[in-house]
Amino acid sequence: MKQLFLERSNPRNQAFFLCLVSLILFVVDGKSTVLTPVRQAAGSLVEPIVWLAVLPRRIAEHGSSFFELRDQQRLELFEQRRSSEMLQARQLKFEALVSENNRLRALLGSSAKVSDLVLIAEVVGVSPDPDQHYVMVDKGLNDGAFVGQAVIDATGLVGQVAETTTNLSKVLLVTDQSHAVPVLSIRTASQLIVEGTGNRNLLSMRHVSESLDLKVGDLLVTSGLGQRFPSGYPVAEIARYQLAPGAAFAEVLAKPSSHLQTLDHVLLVFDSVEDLIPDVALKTVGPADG
Amino acid sequence: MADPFVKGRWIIFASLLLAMALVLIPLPASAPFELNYLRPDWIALVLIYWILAVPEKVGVPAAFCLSLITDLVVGTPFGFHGLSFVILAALAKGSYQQVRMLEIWQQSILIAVALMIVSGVQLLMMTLMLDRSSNLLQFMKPITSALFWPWVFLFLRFCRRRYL
Repeated sequence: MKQLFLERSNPRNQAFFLCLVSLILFVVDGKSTVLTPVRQAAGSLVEPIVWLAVLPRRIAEHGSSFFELRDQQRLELFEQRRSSEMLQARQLKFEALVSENNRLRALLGSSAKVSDLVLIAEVVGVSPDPDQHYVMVDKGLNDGAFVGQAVIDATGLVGQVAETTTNLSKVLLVTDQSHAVPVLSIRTASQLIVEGTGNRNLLSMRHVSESLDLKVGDLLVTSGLGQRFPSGYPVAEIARYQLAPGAAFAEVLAKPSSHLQTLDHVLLVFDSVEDLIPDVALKTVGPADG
Repeated sequence: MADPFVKGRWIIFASLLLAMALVLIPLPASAPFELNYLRPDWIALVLIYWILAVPEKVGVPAAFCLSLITDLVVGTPFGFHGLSFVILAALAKGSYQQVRMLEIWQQSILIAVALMIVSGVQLLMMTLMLDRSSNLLQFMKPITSALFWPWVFLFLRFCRRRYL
């Protein structure tokens, strides 16, 4: 006879036990890095699931280019060639400037580098919780990505790599609540730390003393302090500066330079050529526009 | 007799994979960002369906394993989905005989309530243990999930009758 109720152990005890295990795991994994190797290894195994999520978009892109009219494609190609020529021309001047800048810095004895190398990555997944600001990108350990690596896009700093598996990385955005980045105001060279607020359009600065010369519209770029981010990438523009009478610190809010709500491609920044994996370097890497 | 634990099991895995992919897919850049708060919790819906439909195959331990994979795929600390999936699984398993008798829209209401509780638990975990604040718009998710429940239910019932 078919058994109606198949129970091996008391389900209530089982559920209670697993709840407890979950809580302990959550505290351990949330507060420490003990489980990072486990996450890395197991994460590599479940990568195919993330690829499954990219599949529809890949098919759509392929399909739309397949059905696009030939004339339209020709026009697009023409325009892209023109813009590429223009960028190349600008690049000529840029390279001269970089070498000149590096020479001058060498004369001054300063070690800051201007030239950086980048790797293009596609955003393949987003955080399901809109209050956790991270994205998954399609480059991982195999491509030389590492935890703490700076991530930029064409308009400014995006964030940093927080976790990597074989072929994927999790990128924490500058607007995440747990993110902070040392910056420098271009106009006055004042040093600040910009923190994420949990709002995709807003960054904040704490402990800004009233004597600091800041005003709305000032551009903040990475200062390179702390050695995590390379210097000189735009991070944000000051959107609000308010000094209440009697307050110890000014309230300063800034708007991120890059469009963090609509990322589709980002660039991973490498400090030196040696960090790059050779065949990757040959294929996809070019100098970044600093 | 053929082993009931193997036959047709792939459809359960396939539906869960599909749910995870649906959770991860980025919205098109043209869509307003706030829509992200309305995206249903597909994985929880599919999990609830399978526990209600075949409680002898999918139970609390399976929900726990699923939660670990979900944590890896979406990048939350291990155990974040564990607590909620185990609670959902225990609730569903304890009451599947009653819930099956209800109309689909009544099930939707129950699911909205269960997911609200679970969202509250997740909010507490985030704020108390990781010191992160969460937007209260987060509580829209259970409602949209409940609105999607009838379609998930009908689709998965079709799959179950056909393949399982």
